[in-house]
Amino acid sequence: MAPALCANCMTERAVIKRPKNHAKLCKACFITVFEDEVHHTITSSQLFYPGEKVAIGASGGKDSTVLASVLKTLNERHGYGLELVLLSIDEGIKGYRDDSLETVKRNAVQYDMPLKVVGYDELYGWTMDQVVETIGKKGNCTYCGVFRRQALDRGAKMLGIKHVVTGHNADDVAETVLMNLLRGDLARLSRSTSIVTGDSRSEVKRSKPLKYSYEKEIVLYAHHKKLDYFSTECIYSPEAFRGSARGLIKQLERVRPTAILDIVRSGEDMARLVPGESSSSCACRGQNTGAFASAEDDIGGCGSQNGRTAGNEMAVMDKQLRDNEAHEGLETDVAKTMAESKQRGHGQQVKLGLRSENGAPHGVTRQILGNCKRCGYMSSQEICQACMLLEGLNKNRAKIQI
Amino acid sequence: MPHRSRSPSISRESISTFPFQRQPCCKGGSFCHISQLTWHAAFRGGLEMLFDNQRRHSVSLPAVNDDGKPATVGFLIDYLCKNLMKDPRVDLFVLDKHIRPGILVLINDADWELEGEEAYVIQPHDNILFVSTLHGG
Repeated sequence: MAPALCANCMTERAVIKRPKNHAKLCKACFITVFEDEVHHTITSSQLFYPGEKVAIGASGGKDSTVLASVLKTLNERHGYGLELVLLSIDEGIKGYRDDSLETVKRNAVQYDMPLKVVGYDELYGWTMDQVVETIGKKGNCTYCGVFRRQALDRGAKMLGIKHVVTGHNADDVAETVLMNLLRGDLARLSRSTSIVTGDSRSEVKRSKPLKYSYEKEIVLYAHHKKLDYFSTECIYSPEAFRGSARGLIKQLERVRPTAILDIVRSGEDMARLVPGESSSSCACRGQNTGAFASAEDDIGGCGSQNGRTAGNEMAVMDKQLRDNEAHEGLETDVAKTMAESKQRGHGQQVKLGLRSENGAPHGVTRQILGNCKRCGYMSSQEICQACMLLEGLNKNRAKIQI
Repeated sequence: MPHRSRSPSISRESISTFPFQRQPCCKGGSFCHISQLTWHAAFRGGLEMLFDNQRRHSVSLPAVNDDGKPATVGFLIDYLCKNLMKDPRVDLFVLDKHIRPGILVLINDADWELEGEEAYVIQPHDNILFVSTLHGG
């Protein structure tokens, strides 16, 4: 078989077949196109402003390594004027995080960026190894997820930074959309599709510049640019449900590569049906500037896998309750909604009421988003989830010590 | 019946520059007529853990498969599972007789989708890289 030529430059040998459009590209053209697309996402969503200090949530894995590399390149090429810092969380998992942190340290040198490592031990007085020792492997991801969400924010605050970017890619988003669809959790589905999370209430906003980038292309970008990244699975991690969603996504990709971005887009379209949520496929498509979602629901997840834990149901539920109250008047059953939407014509958003597990609309108890009385972190409860979990852990430790 | 040496000979240190190696028979000091193809396999993205935590392998394998047809990538994958994989979790590499979705295969740095995937006939000196996209960081 004669080697295919690059569809772009028509001179070099094609080495990549793009999943999103089957285009065959050579190495140099692929790298350029990949970077240009991330640039487009950044500019069309107006992710940054000149002079902004941005922390890159860096795990040492492929996604965050590629993110750091691409952001550095684009920052220099297009003069974003960003001050980039690597921010790593040390969960305290021997044989996993200590190894990947070594990669991050090398990345800091390679990309000439300052690095800040925040440890669970210094923030919470517990490493994940100790947590697992106390509570066992089951359910430890909940602790890790709740702690991490705060840890990134706190790390950013220590640095005086109000914007954290994470390496979540299109596959991750598609996976989360699918999982929330299978759980019937439309509220979270909607949030998971937002490119920016965190509203005016939260002090640190999050964004996902690689949201439209295929995992396959991220790996190929890392390969062709010879980036130094670390890949291994968390030793405590296996989560069956996400694994299944992941497997399904990858199998779909094999049969129909565009499926991944299609799921992301479907998720965004569904998000428009959720009360108080909005998300746009690409900010350039419309004038949507409200692509914000609650930071409470932005789950760092393990490595590349966002939304691994379901530890913040309470906070999500609270927000959902408040939203539902506001939209109660708009609540309809599906048949009625369809009839109405025909009458209203196109272009108008249809709000679907969310229902609780027993199928009845939520009762309403007004709760106000405030701050945790213990640690001051944003919470809709008096005591935030991390502090609740810590309380339980500390009691256990006391018992063990006695 | 000609003697066929089927055992894999794997050197992990250096990569042979001579792709076709004649394998000495165990008896009589003569040479087999079956060529062995030296081929370079590399594993990344977490797959190395299935292959003895070694990222690069230089593998000699029969130049023809059991039906006497030239060795293809499909044959190699099967061969790898049977001969090189130290880990019993074959399904992390091969699922339903095909490479597990989410694992990228690069033939001389090109996506194997451009090269005919499993049907690609291995050439001397080919570098074949398996990269998993399935692992986090």
